[in-house]
Amino acid sequence: MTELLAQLTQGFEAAASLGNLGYCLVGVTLGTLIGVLPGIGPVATIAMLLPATYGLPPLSALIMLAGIYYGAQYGGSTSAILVNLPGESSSVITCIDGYAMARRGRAGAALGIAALGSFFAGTVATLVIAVLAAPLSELALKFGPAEYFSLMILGLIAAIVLAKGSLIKAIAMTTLGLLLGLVGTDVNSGVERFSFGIPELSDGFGFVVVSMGLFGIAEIVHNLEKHETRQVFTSHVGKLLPGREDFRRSWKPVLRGTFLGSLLGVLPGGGAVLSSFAAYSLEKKLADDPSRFGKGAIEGVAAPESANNAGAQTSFIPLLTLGIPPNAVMALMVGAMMIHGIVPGPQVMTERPELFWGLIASMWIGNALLVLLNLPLIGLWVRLLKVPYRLLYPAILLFCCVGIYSVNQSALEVAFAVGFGVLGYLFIKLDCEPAPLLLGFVLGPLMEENLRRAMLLARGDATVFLTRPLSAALLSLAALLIVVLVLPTVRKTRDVAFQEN
Amino acid sequence: MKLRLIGHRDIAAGLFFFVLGSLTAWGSTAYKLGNAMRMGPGYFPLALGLLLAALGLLLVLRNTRPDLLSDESRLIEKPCLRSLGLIGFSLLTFAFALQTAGLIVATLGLVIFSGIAYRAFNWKELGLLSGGLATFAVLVFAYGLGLPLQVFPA
Repeated sequence: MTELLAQLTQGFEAAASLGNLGYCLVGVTLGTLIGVLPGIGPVATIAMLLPATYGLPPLSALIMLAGIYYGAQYGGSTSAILVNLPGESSSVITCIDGYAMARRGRAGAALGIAALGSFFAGTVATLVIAVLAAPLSELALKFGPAEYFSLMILGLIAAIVLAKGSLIKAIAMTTLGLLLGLVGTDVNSGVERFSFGIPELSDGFGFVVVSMGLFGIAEIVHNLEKHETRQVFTSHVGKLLPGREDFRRSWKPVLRGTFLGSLLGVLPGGGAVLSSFAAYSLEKKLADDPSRFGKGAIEGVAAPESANNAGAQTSFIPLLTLGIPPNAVMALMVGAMMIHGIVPGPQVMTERPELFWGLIASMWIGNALLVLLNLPLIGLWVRLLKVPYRLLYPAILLFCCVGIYSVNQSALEVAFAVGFGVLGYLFIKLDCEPAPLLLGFVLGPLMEENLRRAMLLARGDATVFLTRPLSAALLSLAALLIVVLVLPTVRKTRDVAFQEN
Repeated sequence: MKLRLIGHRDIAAGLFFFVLGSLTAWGSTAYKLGNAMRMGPGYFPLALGLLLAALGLLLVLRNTRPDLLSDESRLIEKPCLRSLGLIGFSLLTFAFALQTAGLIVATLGLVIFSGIAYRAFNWKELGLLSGGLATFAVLVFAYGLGLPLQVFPA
């Protein structure tokens, strides 16, 4: 305990230097901004800022980039509540009750509870990371290739279970993602696979290229064919502080959301999106009167908003302790760490303690800054939301383009992104959710490497995944997830939960 | 009837996965397969390709029941090729104009071509927007963030 305190103190000392506070502020403000604006997310922004962080000290760079990610969770709820448009995919579920509250003139209370719930969740998640980091890093040292492989299977299955729509499609999309991840030079043999002799493909498709194509470009084309109906509630945002009754209703959902988010964020494939969906379904299930949901129940805002913030933060755990990026944003953080010569994994904590604990401490500082900043700045965000989409999307495209181009100074990569944009548009038309694909894409090469190593060590005996206890435990957890999913009652709630958005 | 089959979302998706999976599986036979103990570069992609093809087939078969086929709501919505084409074209213009014509021209091209993808666009607004964004790009990306971008025509 005293050791933990000493480490946290060390972290706070590192994070609270004037320079780092400044970068934290820049990060969370930028994060909120892009969170508010629909169509541009943390992935695009972090990708764009990666090259700009070359010159910064490593800790400052990571603090700023991390701030963008959890700042976006705050911003996303603002547009969800005020315009019924999720600024961020993790706020999709907040639209339902948040917008309903706004329509009843209670936008202020919704915004207030979202911010306070997120702050509480952020504080708890910071503690969770601090407490769990050391034992998990130790556990990670016991992880062999078989365990890593099983862990990734678990993550992929979690992503499949929580994708909306057809299960077969979700599995197929994951498989396709794994395959896309294999394009490029095979690490074991040095053979170039599926690169068609194009030199830009010898390192595989860039992560930024795939994600901006599938999400950014495809989404813009899709939005253009829908009629724009945006109504911003500006006339009366109302009191920002939720009343006594609101607090009475929401303290339990905030607690449950925080718990669920912290838990799900740790899973590979987890993170903010998954957490918010799960928290909303849980609240609806536990409510005395579920029919209030969808009509402006404050629990429907408090729980998912706490959950997505907790999930966003605890998703740093697998990255920092195991070296596995559990989601798209964390994959970019790997890139950021590599730029500064830091290999993510359990050794970061022992070799660079000031970096590790500094980053964790900065998350709490960042959350505090977000609450202080956000409530007074609501007026500014509202004005920003009034900018019509026809003016917004060319700007978003410009950001995406510059982001993709500046990673490798390559025009061809922009062309690849256009290709993925077309593919993403096709997926929208075919009703295929692209999120599992992206996770498969990130995990593909890691999975293959660990599978091959595990099989080599076990002399080709595939039962190794079941005979090693840790690996078997992870796989049974995955099996449990599937069993739970096939249960008719769960299936039904899953369908209902996804229908509403 | 044939058109209907292709026009059905789930069947089209199934066919897409099936074709893509088969092609991948076929393509990975060009690489050394190895065995379960020493997997070659072709082993994992072959397995995944076969899995993808099988999933695609399963998706097709599960949806060829008459009641599902006649479900109008599962038909593919008409794609908006105009927006898709214009947006794609504007991005390609930006990418390939950047190295020769510079950031200013590339941004103007990007904003104008993508802007007319919105059906009710107006030229005056688009002119202002493209000028504004070009200025912003130069000030923020090239000078502010110091990204290595060519500003003026080479």
